[in-house]
Amino acid sequence: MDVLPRVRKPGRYVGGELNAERAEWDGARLRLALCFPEVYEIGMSNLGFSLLYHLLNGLDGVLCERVFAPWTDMESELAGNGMPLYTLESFRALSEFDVVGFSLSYEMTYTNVLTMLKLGGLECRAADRGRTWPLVIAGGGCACNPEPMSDFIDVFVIGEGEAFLEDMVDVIAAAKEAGTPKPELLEKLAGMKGLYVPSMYDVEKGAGRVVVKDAGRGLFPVERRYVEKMDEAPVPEKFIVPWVEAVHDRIQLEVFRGCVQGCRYCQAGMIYRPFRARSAGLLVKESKSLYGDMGCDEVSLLSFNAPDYPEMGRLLDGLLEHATPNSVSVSMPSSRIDTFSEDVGEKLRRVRGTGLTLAPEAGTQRLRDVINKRITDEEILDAVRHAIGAGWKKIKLYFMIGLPTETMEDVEGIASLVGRIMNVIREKKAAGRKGKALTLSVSNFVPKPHTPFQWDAMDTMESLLEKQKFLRGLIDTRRVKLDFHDVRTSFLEGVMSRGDRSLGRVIEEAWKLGCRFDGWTEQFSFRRWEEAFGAAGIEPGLYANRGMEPLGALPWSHIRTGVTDKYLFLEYRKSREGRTTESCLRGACTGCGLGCELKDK
Amino acid sequence: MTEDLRQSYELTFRRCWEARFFSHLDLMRGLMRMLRRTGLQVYFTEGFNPKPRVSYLTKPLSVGHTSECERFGFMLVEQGDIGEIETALKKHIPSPLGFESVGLLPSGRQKDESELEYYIFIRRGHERMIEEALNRDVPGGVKELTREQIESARVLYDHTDSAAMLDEYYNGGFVFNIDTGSGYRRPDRILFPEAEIGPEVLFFHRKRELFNSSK
Repeated sequence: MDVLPRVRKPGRYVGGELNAERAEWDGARLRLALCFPEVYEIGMSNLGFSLLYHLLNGLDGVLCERVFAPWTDMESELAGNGMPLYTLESFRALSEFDVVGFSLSYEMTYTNVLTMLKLGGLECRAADRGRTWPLVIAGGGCACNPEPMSDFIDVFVIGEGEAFLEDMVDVIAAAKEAGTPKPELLEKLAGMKGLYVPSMYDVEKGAGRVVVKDAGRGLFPVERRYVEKMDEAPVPEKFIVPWVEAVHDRIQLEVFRGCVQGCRYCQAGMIYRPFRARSAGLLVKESKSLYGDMGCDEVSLLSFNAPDYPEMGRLLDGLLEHATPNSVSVSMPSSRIDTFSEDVGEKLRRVRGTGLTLAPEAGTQRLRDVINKRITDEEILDAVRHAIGAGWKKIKLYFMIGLPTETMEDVEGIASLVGRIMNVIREKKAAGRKGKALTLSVSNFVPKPHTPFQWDAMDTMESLLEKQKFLRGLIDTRRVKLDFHDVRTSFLEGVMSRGDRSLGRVIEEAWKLGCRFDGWTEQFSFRRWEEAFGAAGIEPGLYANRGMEPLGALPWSHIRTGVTDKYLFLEYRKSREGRTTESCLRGACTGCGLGCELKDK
Repeated sequence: MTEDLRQSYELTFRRCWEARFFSHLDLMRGLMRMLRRTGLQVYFTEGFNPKPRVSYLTKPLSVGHTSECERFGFMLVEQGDIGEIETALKKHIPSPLGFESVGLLPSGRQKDESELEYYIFIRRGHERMIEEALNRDVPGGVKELTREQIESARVLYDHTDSAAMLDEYYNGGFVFNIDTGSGYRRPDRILFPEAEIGPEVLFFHRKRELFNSSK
């Protein structure tokens, strides 16, 4: 604690928040340190991380404590004073725990994992830790291609944590009590559905990439585990209320999991299938209870596209009945345009209207059909009219550049569509006297694993820069706020998300060269990464900018999310033909491979 | 025309050792959430983004310092039973803050100037600063902290580790009073104007607030 007066935002490192768990250290049969490789404010906004923390602490005899990546000043202070990275509950080092678990939700946090392991008193590489505890586990969205991090992690959890917790904890706790050597425990864990232990598999190099092979143990492939019925899934009765403001500082209500829209670029839309909704009555009850425990002034309806929720009207009515008198706002992170109605917009804005976010993603109908974003220009303009009619003052639009088959005409289409949207805003006189009513956020498309575009090459940095420059020249930035994502960060994200086991060397080298918090513009050093790739003798463009053979093995082929390769390839082919696939809610079952509650609708 | 029944209250609370690393904005957010949790009939502002009508009545405390006389004003839609309000606040005030008292906000109190009494603790190794401060010619004067005064401040540090840390790092200091009028400055800035001194060298503890109107 002596170092805290010298660091920025010391409140990140002190814990003691309302609703933080304080289990007895001595009486616990299993002690877990749950790590988030980002700063406190980001980690505390992650619903999955908070869910796991409270659910683990709810298990009999289990103690779970939180650790976040220390910002660079705190890292220097800890290292310089010989202090270990500690948990926020008991202030103990990671090395004192039985299990150290990481939540991997963004590829650009990989170097922070190494920082946390090292500062926590552990070796970075799994092989160097050998037979010694703790067991290092990782899960989260990035685990659907675990290979780049497989040198550092003992066990990957493929799927949703709630589906594993009890089983996994029981096996590990029993092994600890019986004094089972770590290699034997790893073997046992590798045999459990949804757990991937990299050291139990062989690898081979083929077509320029390292792919994972069955080592004759019958563990191939690794199938994802997930919660089948959301209403039966355990939900914590309370969440921590941070003192330091979290990025998403609000009650997060998970309305449903899995997406029905089938956008072909979206990894989350594929890997979190099937669609599973929670009942409106339970959500309203949960919201009231969490408000009483937390006192937040905002409730966010967390899902991929909240308007797809079958009981949305009932849910909003129930929430607003409680929210309105308490001046609590109700928000949705993002909505598909074709499903956003004036009624929903008006209800959401009634308490406290914040900005509305819509995601057309592409500027022309042709390209929207390629990515299966089944919306027309008119629907987009109507949604803007509805939003303004309902009283929304600020609108944010998401677009992507670098999508498969994209031409400069498609990029020009973004500017043209934005021009028409501005006309609607002017017609409706929504532009305020101050500030800009429209924000345009343009990101660079990264073809992610387990999507129909996984075989596509990512656009080169040069091409993306050219498109950004072209688009900037077409947008009236006096009236529209225009944000572009950094192409070098996107490129590295592409390399890491599509990478194989060879990248462990690069990640370690980059970390040794000082790479930290690579998702932060002020911290990101592309030069250091180039140096690391050079030292490892790896050409990064071969991962990001080269397409893959649809029938060949991919670095992530051993991980099965449940969506079949056949479905992904069919969608890939339809995209090249400009054919769309209807939403699971509106059309017939698309046969993605995961039977769901909508199949017999 | 409906009758205006709104009533303002004043909560006095301790900001303990463990709370010294939260910013003033963090503290305000935490207090507003506390009000929402109490279930009291809080009065909300009537603007585009309604929020509880609150005000921080003491001078904002810098990061790294402690207090046992912070005052936070809030408004209810109508006058309530003070016993019930006290029970609700005691139950919901978030650790590591400590409830001291609650009462109706005296009329004119928000504009009332006061005198804040600070106990200033100096880190071991910087003892010369105590001498330096004691020799300063400042209004009200500077007095060395007595053993009793140090012990009386120590009740704030309920946490065993914190009390031990206090003993380990701080071995004394001085008392200093400051008027909170328009010329208010932090005690370290008045006593050591020539140097930027952070909480790694000293921390100050607000002991009490004396109102000019009642002096």
